[in-house]
Amino acid sequence: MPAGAAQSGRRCAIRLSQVDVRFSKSDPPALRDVDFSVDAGQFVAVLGPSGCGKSTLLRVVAGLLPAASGEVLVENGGADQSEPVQGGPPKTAFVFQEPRLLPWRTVFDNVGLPLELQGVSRRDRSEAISESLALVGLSPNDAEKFPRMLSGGMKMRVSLARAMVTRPEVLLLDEPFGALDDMLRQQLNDDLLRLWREHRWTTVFVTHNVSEAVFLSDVIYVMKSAPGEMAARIETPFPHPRSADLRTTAAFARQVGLVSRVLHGGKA
Amino acid sequence: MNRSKKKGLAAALVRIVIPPLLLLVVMLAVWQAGVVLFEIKPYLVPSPWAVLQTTYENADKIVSATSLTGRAALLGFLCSCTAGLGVGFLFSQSVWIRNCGYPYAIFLQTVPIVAIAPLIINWFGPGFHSVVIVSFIISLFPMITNATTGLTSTPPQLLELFRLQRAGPWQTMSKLRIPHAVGAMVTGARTASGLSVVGAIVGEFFAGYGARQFGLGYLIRQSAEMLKTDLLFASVGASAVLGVVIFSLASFVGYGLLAKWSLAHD
Repeated sequence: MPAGAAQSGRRCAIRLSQVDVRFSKSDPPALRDVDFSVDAGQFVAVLGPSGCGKSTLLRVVAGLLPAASGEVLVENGGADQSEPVQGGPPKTAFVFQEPRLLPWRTVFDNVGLPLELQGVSRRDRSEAISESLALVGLSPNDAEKFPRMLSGGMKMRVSLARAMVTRPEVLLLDEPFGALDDMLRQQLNDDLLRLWREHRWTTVFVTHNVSEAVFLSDVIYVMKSAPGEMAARIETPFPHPRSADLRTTAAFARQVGLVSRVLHGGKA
Repeated sequence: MNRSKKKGLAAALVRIVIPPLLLLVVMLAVWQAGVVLFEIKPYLVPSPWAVLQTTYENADKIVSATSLTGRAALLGFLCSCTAGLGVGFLFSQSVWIRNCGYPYAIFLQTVPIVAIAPLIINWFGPGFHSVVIVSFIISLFPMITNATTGLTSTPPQLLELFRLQRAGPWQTMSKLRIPHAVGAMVTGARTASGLSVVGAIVGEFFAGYGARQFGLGYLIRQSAEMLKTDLLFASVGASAVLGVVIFSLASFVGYGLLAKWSLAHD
């Protein structure tokens, strides 16, 4: 069993059925009749044009937005999949499009924030923070820096480290590398996939980049443009572990082409 | 390293201190020349030299008055910082509370202090505490508005981050809203520090203190009434110096806080 799953002690699956989300009664729904399912330990990408409701979907899963109707369940992914998660709500970590670091805190204290808010003492969180920083490739030297001293890519790594410090059961990422250049994005994608392989968090990754979605995920959900309906569910046929070379293969290019066609209104 | 640091400090000193001093010397020279050339009466405009002489002769009086006014202003300033932060904190708790209280906070800003100063003296009697109260009232408003704005302008993205971590209201306040508001609070305190001196002097205009003990406001009024214009100028000069000292003190402490809390506001 992978290390992360052993530490967290439980695996969570996400099930949304017939979910509607409305910001106000007069507005059209931001999500309409959405069925969405992520198995425990699965890496799922959500793909769609801007404004289609990808981020809304993620916020519903995180519990930041209520569903107007339908069912949102984060279940125990063990033997009995119908059982709701036991022992409190699932540990969910969210990585936003922007790093959202507190400028008055060092990298170390930014990464430790979730633990601090849970009331973990400074001594006890120190080890978890160092571990988390090492996971994303930041040195102890970087830990004492303030966010303004970091490059965009490093800030994003800090944001990832902050998400991982609580050893989450569900990892939600909202276009985390959207603002970065291609090379950095690929590098962070490779790192993310490696970390996921080691820990097998149940992961939802929102993006509008087709090749990123194909490279990372087991399953891709494609959303239509407004008013936020699900268009298709496409399985990605490549086994793990995947290396960076996968991107250069013909099969990869074919899969990207297929997903792109669906995204632009064709059939899978 | 050390040498270059010293060099930088010296350069900064030259850049910041020398130009205003130069301007002062030029202005004093023009003033002295004007008084002498146009034979202006000393009770209208005394020469800078005469003002300097009067300052020297009345040094005891001016220093003790400045120190008394300074104490009143400092106390008024500290009170307005404390109360302003408290009210700002209250206002930031709900729009409803803010809407209830804000018109009265604006009243503090718009009320002609010369109208209510006699009232305050009626209520609290002449003396030090009435002066402190006037200084407090005059310097309170910028503290309230800046603290309120600072505490309510936390970026929604960061609030969402805290909500996601299931942070409680007190955690959100102490670890997000307050550190984020430090910059605005320091700005408010700097504005309030200057106003507290104005408030203390206005207070002393009305409260005086009596013959044995008096502040700059009393000295200004007395010298104006007796047409001792040179002493009036000296007192005004002392008020200006006092204002600069208290403002610098607030700025110094404020920047210290900023460096500690919000070092990296970019």
